[in-house]
Amino acid sequence: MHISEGVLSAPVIAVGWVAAAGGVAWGLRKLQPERIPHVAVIAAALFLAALVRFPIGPTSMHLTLLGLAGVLLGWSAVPALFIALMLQAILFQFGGLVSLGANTTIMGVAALTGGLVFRLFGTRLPMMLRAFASGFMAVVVGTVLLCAALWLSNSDFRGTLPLIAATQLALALIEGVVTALIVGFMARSMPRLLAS
Amino acid sequence: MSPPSIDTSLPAVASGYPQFVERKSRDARALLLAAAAVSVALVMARSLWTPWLTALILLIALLWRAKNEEKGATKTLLRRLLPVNAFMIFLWVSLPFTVAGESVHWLGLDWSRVGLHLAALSTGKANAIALVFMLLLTPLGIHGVARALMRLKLSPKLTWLFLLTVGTIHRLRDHFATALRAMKLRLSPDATLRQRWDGYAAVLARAFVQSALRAETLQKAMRCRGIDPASGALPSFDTKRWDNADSAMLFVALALAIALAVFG
Repeated sequence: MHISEGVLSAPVIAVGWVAAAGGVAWGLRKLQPERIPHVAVIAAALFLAALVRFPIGPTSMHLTLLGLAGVLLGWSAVPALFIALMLQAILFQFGGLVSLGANTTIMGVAALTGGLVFRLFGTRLPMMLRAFASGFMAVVVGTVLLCAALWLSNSDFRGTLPLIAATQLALALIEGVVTALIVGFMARSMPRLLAS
Repeated sequence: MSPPSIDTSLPAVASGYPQFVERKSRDARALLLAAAAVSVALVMARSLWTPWLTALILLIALLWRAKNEEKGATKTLLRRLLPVNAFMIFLWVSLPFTVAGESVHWLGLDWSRVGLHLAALSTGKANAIALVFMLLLTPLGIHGVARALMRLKLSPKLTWLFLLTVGTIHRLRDHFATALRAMKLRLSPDATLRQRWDGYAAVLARAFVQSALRAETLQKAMRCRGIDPASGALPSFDTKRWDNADSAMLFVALALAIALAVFG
């Protein structure tokens, strides 16, 4: 879901940075100092989880676990994703530092949506179902924002948007299933992780 | 379906062990600001030659530097350009056929001229910007970037978050790789898709649970050492200070950025 360098226009990059700065600032404001090690370690785990290749037919894809980030970290997911994306840009050239603001905004909003979906239904729905919806909706919202960023950067990209959406839909389903399985495991082994 | 795997090529700079002695280089802030200025100018480029020529010059410079570094540096450099161009391949196979307008007939297909131009422009910009960062920031390493964040007076919470994340990655990565290898060995070849997915999710979930436990230990260790992330006090390992050479380098970078923005 990373947008590469050189694709976005200057106004979209600027708006992305402003939105990301606001999100990161708010996330840091809400982050209690004693929770910093917790968020940092979860951010490192998210960074590594995104490197795990999951085979699909002849190809493979990387997970994003944005829904899980929202469930586990809430608003702290935004600075955590900012750090994880910065490291991925520096270490692997995934995304990039100029498009870091836009990527943080897209993924941050997606993670917050995932967290919101998980908490919204409270105990009315089974936890596994809420976790699936969280993982699924996070990728769907991220894809909508990604397509909007591309379209706003250059309307000539509109022909490629259905292709991007189709590949991301497959990812959304897998993310939903994997998020549900992970949350199910956590609920059995360390429920306080989900309660926080 | 084969079991999932993890990229094992985590660069050494993420080893989690700070470089206590800073290598002789420019001030991290100067390098970060210079890279940002040139990159923003490249984003605004409209003609094809500006990003492509910049990318070519930078690639030659980096290959020259790699030649004088340790064995395999050239291969590493080229391998790092692969992720940059993965999305570009997608643009090359989609844009020439989805963008409306004047087309050219070649290899039995109708290619949109505007689509080809957009794909070429995006590819040039993506590679040029990636090469700028590789030239200026890669020698700094992760801890150099952390030093730049400190010196730019960003939020101490953000810098602590960055330092602790970097410090944890290497250990967690080893845990991930071992757990995935163990799962691969334990899985029966006749395992169902559901069993494989369950195993995969269990590895990830266990990593998160262990991460949370490790975070609690880390928090206690920081408290025992009297470290308070909210106080703004940050560890300082560096001796490098901004000097005239840093100012000169930043001046040249800004002049180049202005030239690229005006003439590109």
